[in-house]
Amino acid sequence: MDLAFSPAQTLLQQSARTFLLQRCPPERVQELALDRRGFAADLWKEIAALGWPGLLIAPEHGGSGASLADALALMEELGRACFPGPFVPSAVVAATALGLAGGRRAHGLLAGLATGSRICTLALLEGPGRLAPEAMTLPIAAPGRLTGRKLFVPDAHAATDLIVVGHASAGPAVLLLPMGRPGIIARPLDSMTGDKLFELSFADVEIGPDDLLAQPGRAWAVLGPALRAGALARCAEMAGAAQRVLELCVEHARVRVQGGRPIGSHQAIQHACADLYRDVESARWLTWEAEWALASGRPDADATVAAAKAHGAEAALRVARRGHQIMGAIGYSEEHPLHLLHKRILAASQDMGDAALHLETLARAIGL
Amino acid sequence: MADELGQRVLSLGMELLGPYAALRAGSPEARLRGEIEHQYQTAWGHTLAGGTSEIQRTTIAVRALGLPAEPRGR
Repeated sequence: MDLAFSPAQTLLQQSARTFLLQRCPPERVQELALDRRGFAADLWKEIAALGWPGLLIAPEHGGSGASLADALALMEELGRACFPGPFVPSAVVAATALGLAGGRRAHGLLAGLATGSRICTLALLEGPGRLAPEAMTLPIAAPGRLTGRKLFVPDAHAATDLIVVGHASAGPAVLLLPMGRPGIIARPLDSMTGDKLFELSFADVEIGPDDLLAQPGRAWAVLGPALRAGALARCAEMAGAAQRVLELCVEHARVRVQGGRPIGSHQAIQHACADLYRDVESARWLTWEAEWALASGRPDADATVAAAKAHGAEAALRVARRGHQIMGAIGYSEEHPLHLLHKRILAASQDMGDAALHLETLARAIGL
Repeated sequence: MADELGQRVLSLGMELLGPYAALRAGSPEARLRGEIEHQYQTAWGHTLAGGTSEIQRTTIAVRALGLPAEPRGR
């Protein structure tokens, strides 16, 4: 197992960090978080020019055909910068699903995603809030009419297209719809993480046979790998954000003098920082191990993704929470980026399956 | 140090509420009037204000248990 970055991945991380420091500083993230309908169209245009939304899109559809590993290297930087917006749903999950689904409509949309002119969001969760096939029961018939609702749909206000997961007579089904289809109504939810989440209602929406993204029986073959990629993207995002928390804490512990000595000279703070380091490293390397398992087609790849997401969520949340204790009052102010990192980690820990869901997957994978 | 218990309880509450956890009071679909979200956000200040948990532990160790104090700053 060789987990060293390629020169291209190192370059991608370095250029992303430089760009995000300039164009997506904490003040911008906070400003967008406070704006209930905030979407950084200018930033999205700029990252499209850099080729980020097209990383996982094949060259024949206008992307760069990069690997999931390349996208994860970028995700670490997006997490570090608390980059807001629909990158994971659109550029990771939808791009992967559309690529696997194929067909004229999927290919047309991929070309739009790659140039940044279109954004595709995901309507997955329903009342139970669980990302599992049996908890996504919206009745789908194509041709037919779609009636029901979805919850926690990210960036519906910015998206041009929508992937909807539900259930047809033949089992799980997945639709690809334009956001502008009559009868699709978005109502904003208000999340403390700064994510723009929506309730989507479908009021007798007309569905044609062409709206199916995958043929009956193939829905999960398209969705499964896309959701795994999404889960790993969230892992890398959490690892990047947690790494930044660690750096802020160590720097603070070094320079903050209390009672005549730096607080980092106390074992209480040293051990806390060491725990942060352990959590950051373990979250990060489980993510890269899972990427390696997926890329090399190992039979336990599902289990490694589940382990990475379950552990990453718990470890990164511990880092954020303990980080507050190390930083003290300064970290508790809105001017300090710690609260943005904490919220980013919280949102990523719950998206693409929370720790409980992935622990269930892991339990099944080891034969329980 | 009861505030650490509060942090644990609220973290568990956030976990139990899943994607509903982050919804603020007044949002459609908010659970428990957004109370867990609000309390979770304030909880991280409670173990800092009025003497951090570390200071409280040092006080217990030195004053109540009679352990030797850490050397003072140089």
